Amino acid sequence: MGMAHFTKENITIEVNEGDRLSDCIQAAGLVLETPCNGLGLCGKCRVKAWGDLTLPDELESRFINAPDVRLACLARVKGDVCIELPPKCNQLKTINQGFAIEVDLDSSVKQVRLPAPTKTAQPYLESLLDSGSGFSSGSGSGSVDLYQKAGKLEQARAQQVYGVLFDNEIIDLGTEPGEIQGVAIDIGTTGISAYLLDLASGKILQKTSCLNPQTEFGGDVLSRISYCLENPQGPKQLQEAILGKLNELVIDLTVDANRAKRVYQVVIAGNTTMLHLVLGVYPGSIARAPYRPVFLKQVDLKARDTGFLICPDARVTLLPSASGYVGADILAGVVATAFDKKDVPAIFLDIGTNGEIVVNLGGRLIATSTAAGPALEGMNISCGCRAEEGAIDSFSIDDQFELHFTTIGSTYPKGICGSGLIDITAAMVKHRLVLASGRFNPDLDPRIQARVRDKKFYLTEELYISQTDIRQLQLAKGAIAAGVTLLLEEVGIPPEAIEEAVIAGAFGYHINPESILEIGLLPKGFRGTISFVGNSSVEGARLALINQGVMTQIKDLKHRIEVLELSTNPRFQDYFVKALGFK
Amino acid sequence: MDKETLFREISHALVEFEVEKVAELAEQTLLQNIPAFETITEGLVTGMKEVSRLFEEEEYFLPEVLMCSDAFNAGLEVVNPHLDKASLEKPIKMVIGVVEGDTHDIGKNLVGILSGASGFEVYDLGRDVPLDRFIEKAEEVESDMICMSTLMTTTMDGMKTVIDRLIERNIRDKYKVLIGGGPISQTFCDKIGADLYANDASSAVRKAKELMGRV
Repeated sequence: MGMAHFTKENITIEVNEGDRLSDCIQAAGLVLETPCNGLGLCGKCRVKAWGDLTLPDELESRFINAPDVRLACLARVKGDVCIELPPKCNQLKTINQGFAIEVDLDSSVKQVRLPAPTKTAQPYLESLLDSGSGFSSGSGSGSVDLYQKAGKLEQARAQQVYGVLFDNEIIDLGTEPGEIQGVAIDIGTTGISAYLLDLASGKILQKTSCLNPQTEFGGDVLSRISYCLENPQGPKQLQEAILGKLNELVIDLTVDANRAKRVYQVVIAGNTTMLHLVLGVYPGSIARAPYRPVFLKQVDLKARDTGFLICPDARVTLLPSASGYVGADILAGVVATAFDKKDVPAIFLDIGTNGEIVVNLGGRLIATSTAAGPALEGMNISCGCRAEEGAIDSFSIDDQFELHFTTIGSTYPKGICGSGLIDITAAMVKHRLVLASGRFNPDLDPRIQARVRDKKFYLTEELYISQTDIRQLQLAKGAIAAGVTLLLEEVGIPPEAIEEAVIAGAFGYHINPESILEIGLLPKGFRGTISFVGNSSVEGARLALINQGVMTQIKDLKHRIEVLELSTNPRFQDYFVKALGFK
Repeated sequence: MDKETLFREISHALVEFEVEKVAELAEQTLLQNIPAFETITEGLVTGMKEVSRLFEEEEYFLPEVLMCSDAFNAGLEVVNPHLDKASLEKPIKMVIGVVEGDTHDIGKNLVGILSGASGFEVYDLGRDVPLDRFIEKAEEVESDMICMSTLMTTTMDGMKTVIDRLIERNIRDKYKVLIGGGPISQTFCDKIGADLYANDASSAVRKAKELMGRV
């Protein structure tokens, strides 16, 4: 037994010998991201720590470069220790908007003036439900909350009653008319986006976004699933983390808890794993061949059964997914952008740790997911970071070999995020710092020579791109390009025939189209237009919230879309290897 | 061309992945009655060693390595029928596969190809391989090594299960266990008691040879 003291927060807790620093941080209720789920692979969970600690092993030593700096996932406590956490993690720069088609208002939620109570002994609420007036209470009898609300009406001797209906089901009662609101949510593996909507007008009242708090349990889907495999309480813990955050976001959006009670519908899009975790459902089977989820169909629940602190009888809908790796986020995005209605051959891409791809050929929709790895999100890259303050997000080299770059928040460059990496690589290919094979050019233009040392291209004194980083990017873009090629082959058209590439995802918004073509993220031969639609997933959730027809469209799409598994496709390897170069 | 020059040319053409040239040069060795065994060890294998070095130094990447191994196989096909089997030392046998629950096999395929090109006798079980299958096959072919790979953190514990079952059956010492794949590390290797971890296909082959006492 020892004490761990957190210097900045001035928190001291009891810890056990053998606890990892990351355990101590969690036990103290503090947050530190451990992107690789404590495997000691990414080196991103550095903290300052001193006192009675285990000595760094060989693995840890690879990542630590200054006294008292330790990896929280590897260093273990022996007695009393002091821990200094890094400066508060920056806000993730996630694009909290997206392109979407316009739809008419046709919400399931409506507010109506109900017949006033009559002077009879017949219970008011029951009379509404019995009288053939077309109202129901969903389950047959009212919910406890609804009875209590009816009781309050009696207490107030109400002469005028307003009800909120979901379809024809009474979900709220009151003496005054009030706001009727809905919340559209996209749960991304990295970031969460949410909109508050006025369901009477369909207008967006407020938007918010934040980092997914589950990153504490692992940066990507697989490491979070691993957490659930190793910890029996895993699904529950991950559910609590996400629900806690979602409820915070609802309060953020509605400003106070009373207004939050006037949220009558929540529509959630997200990848299949995120949807499992929001219900606390074991996601393990998604990550084992044959990659089988527990559910794919749309799930409709009452808010009180889900842990959402909104109107207890409100409807919470999880949009349907197509497969374990083609989730509701993709279906929602496809419908939001009317991609399913394109009359020219087109591809839809969502780039992240998994790259999801959909091809539309004359209304035939076929989708797949490819294990691109985290490079395009700035992870597994020597100086990589997420799209957060200080990240280099755009880059170019001019004809005089001068470098130009921008950082998020225009601050001092602290790392390179995905869009920066794509730009940097494209510039390196264009100016022949790397060859078509991806190899660093040993024969450099003299004007750039000073920046290249030991197969590292220095952008600043500290930040560089190494040969290994270029290889990581090649693997990521090769996987995506090969996935697109295979899908196109499946529908029987060449890349030349594709007229449009629609790139979705918070990440997609910042990328430069020329850089995409230069590095060959799309198959050779592609000459169509590239458009960016931002977070089309949250847009899809928004449209489903304000228009019931859109909800039905997403459901139909789930049945219509074909899914192709790439990793078992015999030709994938061949296409992948061919797509690695920068030709 | 004398023998030494011919071998050098073969190695060189292989490293430059000139498939046809390697085959032509291999034909020439036959015309000159050079023993196939020497052509393989001095020309082809020497070339592949250089390819491995280039890969480990990141000069070469997967496409180059695969093209080089095509060149290796082209040369091997020419001289193999003339090989005096008695001249060969007993090849190292390896059973290789992607562990149960995972279907991502490109890394495993690469190790298989490079091992084959370095003279290993490779029994490839494919992907999503039931864990007991590794042991059954190793017993059946009297393998020297069991090689397991996975890309997913969710399936890596299968490797430990295989090792535990080897121990249960009292045959752990019969095999060297080599593991690799995206989430695998030396720490994990130590933790589950595997014999060898390699972080790329080329070093996997090199380290496997070292482990078996063949350099």
